[in-house]
Amino acid sequence: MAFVEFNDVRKVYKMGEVEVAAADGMTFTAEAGEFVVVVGPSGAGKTTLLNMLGGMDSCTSGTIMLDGRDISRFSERELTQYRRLDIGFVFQFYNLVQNLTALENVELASQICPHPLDAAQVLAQVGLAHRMDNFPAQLSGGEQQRVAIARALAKNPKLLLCDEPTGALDYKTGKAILKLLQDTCRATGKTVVLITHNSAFADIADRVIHVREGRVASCFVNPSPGNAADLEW
Amino acid sequence: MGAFRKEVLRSITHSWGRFLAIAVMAALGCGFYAGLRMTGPDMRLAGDEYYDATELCDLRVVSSLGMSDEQVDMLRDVEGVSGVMPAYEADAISQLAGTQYTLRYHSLDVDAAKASSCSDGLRVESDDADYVNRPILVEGSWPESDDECLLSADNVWTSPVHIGDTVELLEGTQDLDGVFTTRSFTVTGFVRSSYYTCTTNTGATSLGSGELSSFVFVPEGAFAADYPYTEAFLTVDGAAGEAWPDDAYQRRVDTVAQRLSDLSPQLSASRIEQLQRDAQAELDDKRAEFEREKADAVAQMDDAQAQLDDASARLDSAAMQLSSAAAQLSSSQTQLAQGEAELASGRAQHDSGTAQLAEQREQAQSAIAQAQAQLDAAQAQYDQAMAQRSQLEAQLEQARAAQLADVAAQLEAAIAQIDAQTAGAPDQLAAGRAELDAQREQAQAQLSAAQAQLDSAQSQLDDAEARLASGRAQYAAGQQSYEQGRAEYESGLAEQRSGQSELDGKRAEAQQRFADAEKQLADAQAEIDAIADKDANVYVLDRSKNLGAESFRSDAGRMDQIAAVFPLMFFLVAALVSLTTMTRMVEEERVLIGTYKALGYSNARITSKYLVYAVVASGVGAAVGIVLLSQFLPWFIMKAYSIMYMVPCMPTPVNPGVAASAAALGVGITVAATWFAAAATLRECPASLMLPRAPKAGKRILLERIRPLWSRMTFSWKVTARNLFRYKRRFFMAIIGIAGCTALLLTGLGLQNAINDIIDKQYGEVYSFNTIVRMDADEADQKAKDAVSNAVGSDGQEFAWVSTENKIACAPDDGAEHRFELVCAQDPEQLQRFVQMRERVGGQALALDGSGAIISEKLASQLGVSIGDTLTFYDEDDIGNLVGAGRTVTVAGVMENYVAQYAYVTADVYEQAMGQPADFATVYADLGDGVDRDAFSDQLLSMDGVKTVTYSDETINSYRTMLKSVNSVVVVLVVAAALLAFVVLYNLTNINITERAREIATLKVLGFTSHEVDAYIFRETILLSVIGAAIGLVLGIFMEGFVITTAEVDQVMFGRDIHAASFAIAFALTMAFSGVVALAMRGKLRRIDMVESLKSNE
Repeated sequence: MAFVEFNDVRKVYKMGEVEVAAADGMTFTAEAGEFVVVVGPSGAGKTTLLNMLGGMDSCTSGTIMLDGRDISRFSERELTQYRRLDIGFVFQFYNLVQNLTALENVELASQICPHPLDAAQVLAQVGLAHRMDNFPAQLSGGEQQRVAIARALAKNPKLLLCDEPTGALDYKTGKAILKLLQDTCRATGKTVVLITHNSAFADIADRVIHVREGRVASCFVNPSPGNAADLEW
Repeated sequence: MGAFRKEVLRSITHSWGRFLAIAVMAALGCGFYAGLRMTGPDMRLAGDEYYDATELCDLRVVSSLGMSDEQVDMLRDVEGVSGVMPAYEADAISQLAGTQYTLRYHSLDVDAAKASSCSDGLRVESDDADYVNRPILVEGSWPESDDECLLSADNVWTSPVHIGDTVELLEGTQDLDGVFTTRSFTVTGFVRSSYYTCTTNTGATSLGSGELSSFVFVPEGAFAADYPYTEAFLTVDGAAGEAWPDDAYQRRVDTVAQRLSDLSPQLSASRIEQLQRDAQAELDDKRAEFEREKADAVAQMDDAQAQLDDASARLDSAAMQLSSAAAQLSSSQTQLAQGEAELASGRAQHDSGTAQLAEQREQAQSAIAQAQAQLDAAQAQYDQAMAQRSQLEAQLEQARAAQLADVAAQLEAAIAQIDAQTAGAPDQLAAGRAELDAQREQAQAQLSAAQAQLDSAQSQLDDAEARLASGRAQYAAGQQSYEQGRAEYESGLAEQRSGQSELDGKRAEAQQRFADAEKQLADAQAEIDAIADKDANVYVLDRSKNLGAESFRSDAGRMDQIAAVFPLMFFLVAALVSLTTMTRMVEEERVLIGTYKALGYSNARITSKYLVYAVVASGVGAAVGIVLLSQFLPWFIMKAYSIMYMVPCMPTPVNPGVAASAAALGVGITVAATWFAAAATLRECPASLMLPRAPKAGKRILLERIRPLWSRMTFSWKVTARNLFRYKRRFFMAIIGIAGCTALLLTGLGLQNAINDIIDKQYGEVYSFNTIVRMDADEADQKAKDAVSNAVGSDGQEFAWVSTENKIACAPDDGAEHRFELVCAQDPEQLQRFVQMRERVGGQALALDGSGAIISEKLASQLGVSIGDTLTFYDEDDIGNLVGAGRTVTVAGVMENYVAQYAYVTADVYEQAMGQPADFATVYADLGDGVDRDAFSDQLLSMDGVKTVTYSDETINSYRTMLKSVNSVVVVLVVAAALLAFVVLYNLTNINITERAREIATLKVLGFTSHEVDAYIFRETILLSVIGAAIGLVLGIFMEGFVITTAEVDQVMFGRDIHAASFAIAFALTMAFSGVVALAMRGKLRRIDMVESLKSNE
């Protein structure tokens, strides 16, 4: 059984009397330790996919399996526990707590987990050992995203989910972040799912999933994933 | 409608929460401001309406010498005086339904009252302009006869009182018979009188405890005929048309009052002149009567004298008669004696005659007998001779025989001799016999004649004897009648004498009486002459001297003061709420503003959107708040006051000025806050507005420097701590709002404490006696006092003798007058067992000794005196004016005291100050619970000199009533506090949640359980609440202090301590409010959608 398994997952939003299917029968699988890149244009349903996978949103029908557990049947409480223990999130806009320093933002996540990584160590890993006591406002975008990644990693999750992590960053910084994510995946063996509208990122993925109009257009394993450092777009 | 306007409209309809927040705050701020500001005026209006409707006198003219129609007519003639009602008034301790009350009796014009009508229970219609102070008949009927009365409808009676009950007059300020025509009244109904607006403080009296319990209306006829009018109630032309107690009203009244004051010398002169005239006339009458009586008495006495003299004359003649009778008697006695003597001599004569006769008879008889004897002897001799002769013859014969012739011769010789010798003897004998017989016969005849003579003398004597006897009888009768006459005379004389002495006594007595009467008349005359020197004080008193009206007015003034302070807080919070809310709105519409700017809208136009929004929101809120609260608050407060004040109407008109100023303030503050919020954002250029605003940077806070503490805090606490200092506006809004809430709560609870303390501390701590027995100082002698001592101390109860006098003290700086009771302890130690004399702060015990007076705290603060200062005070007359010279005493201590005002002194200090020793006629006693109060009262009141027996329970009850009105104030404060807390906390939390939706979503994504998320957010609210509440407790102490000192009434000091429990409750309630808000906001927290919140940067 695959580590991640979407089976005919549908997500229907009711907008007044109109039903909009954000996910219209998504089916794919991904294996543990893979660097998965989900590519698709705006509104294709990638974020919906990620939200459902991350336990932030529930599906209308179909099953979502992670590591053998059917999260699509989880209750609200189970979903919270799931997010808490199994998932690490990285957002486009970092979503750091402005009132906490870099270290504290990481600790914010680690304090609620049973087996967290050392916050300072994780920050050092993402290259921010020297900025640990700085507030988000005092950090650049890339540094903030590193803090966000460190926060996600410190929980020691099974799955790292990244929603356009480079979207708000300049090219160079974005690349560095991509590299960090890839390296993390390689170094820790964690499964990383990254969402982007930039199909160029497919090159560095172990597995590429193309999403279009709520469906998985294709899902294939990249036979020769490139290094993020070499990526250009 | 332009698109922009539509957008403005929609910004309202699409954000009701925000709109409501501003509207509610504006409503609260403006409403409280308007409501409280209107309360004072509404109260005054209520008073004005009530007073106009019942024709409450504008002026009251009191004369210390009373008044008569003459003076009343003078008053009537004063320009500006509309109605004049002369009236009688008298105080009396009375018994009603088993309880003693000190009541003031007022005369009621029953005819006018019956002619009046009161259909709506407020307005008393009457054609009689002179029918002033019209009572409103609440229950029952007007009195029909002079021994019927009407009682106050206010619930001041400790036991239920019903129509048909009897009010017994027990004791008055003067002899009750001189005041009333009856000693008991039957209750026919209950009235409400605007003359007594305040039900808990009716007035002062010189009777009993010095405080009036209530009032009674009785027909004019219930007052004694020669009891003068004590006062006149006046209405002033046009005064009813002015609003009491506005300046315009006061000016009108003052003008007339001035005229009356100007007239007062004439009034008093007229009264004196009249009194003098009346008294003179009366005296003249009396004198005439006296003269008449005197003349009568003299005539009577003269009459009696004449009678006596008559009797005397009669007695004299009787005496004369008697003496003549006596003379007659004595003459007749003499005669009798003479007759007796004569009789005796006659009898003696007769006896001697008889004796003579007997002697004669004897003589004659003896002569006869002698003659007889002679004769017999002669016979015998003859016979002898014969015999001898015979013998001789015999012998001769013999001898012859014998022939003895010698012998016979001899014998013949002897016979011859014998014959010779006897020869003549028979003749001689016969002659002798004849002669004897003749002699006998002669003697017999002589004797018979003598006998006859004697017999005639005897009969004469017997005659005389009989006559004498009758004379004697006559004499005896005369004697008896004389004796009788004499006795009669004696008794007559004695009678006359006693009559005379009686008359003399009477005359002396009468003389004395005449002298006394003369003296009395002279005294009376002197008194009448002295009237001229009397001070006929005429007082002109306006409504400010009416205790009820004045205290109602000053309470309305207190509301003004409170209104000036309280709404400030609401306005402040309203401003902060508007500021934060509008800031948030502007913040949220940052991109929209940029868009408008980009489209070419002017800053003014864009700003106008927010200003319009603010104006509409605050305007709607203000309108609703003003309309609702300006109705509700005055109504509610007047309702609360209605326990103390019997003002039946509660008008709550919206005062346009106040409403407008409230609305202007409320809207203005909101608009200003809005402009402030929008201005900064509008200064930015459109491009930067399009970009998301950089999140407010986190900052290190001071707390972090305290490493040991900071490192121990969890992230949530760190975030909370940093957040608190990050959003300063919100911080202050929350702190001020919550602090305000707590302060309001504390004020309410503290107020309750303060008033509860009056009773609890005064009667629990300061006083440890529960009974006061007052005796009449003039009547009670030592014996009576000892009897009372025995009665009071019968069960081993402790008691203390004191003297109590009402005095008036004058403040040294402004001369304001303050009544207090001067209590002099007979035994200071004993008194101090009953009255705890200590300082309130610190509880330092005070010694009552010769160093001066210990005065109650409120008196000290009102007078502005402290230890070592001099307290100057004066005596008080019956109407509460100060009289006499000022007396001084040094203030030796200021003691904790809550009810009434006192100065305690020792006997020495009293004597020094007053110049005379104190008369201890009042007993403080502590009666055990087991003692039957009624029986005890009855027992004591039946004793000589005991005037009143009062129990603390009665006072306590009246204060408990007052407390009820405070409870409703507490309710208002709690509701206001809750509203304040809800609005502020809701707004705060709402903004907090909305603004930090991303953060919350992030936490949710990170896997924070809902409980952890709640804690993360509400910790802040709770911390703010704690800080706010803590500050509020401090603020509350000051606010409570302000309210207490503002609301405090004369004669009472509210408790100054807020109880620990009140602090705890205020704190706990604030926390509960914030807890409720937190619970309510949990749903909103739940609803934050992770997906939506994190989708993009807005």
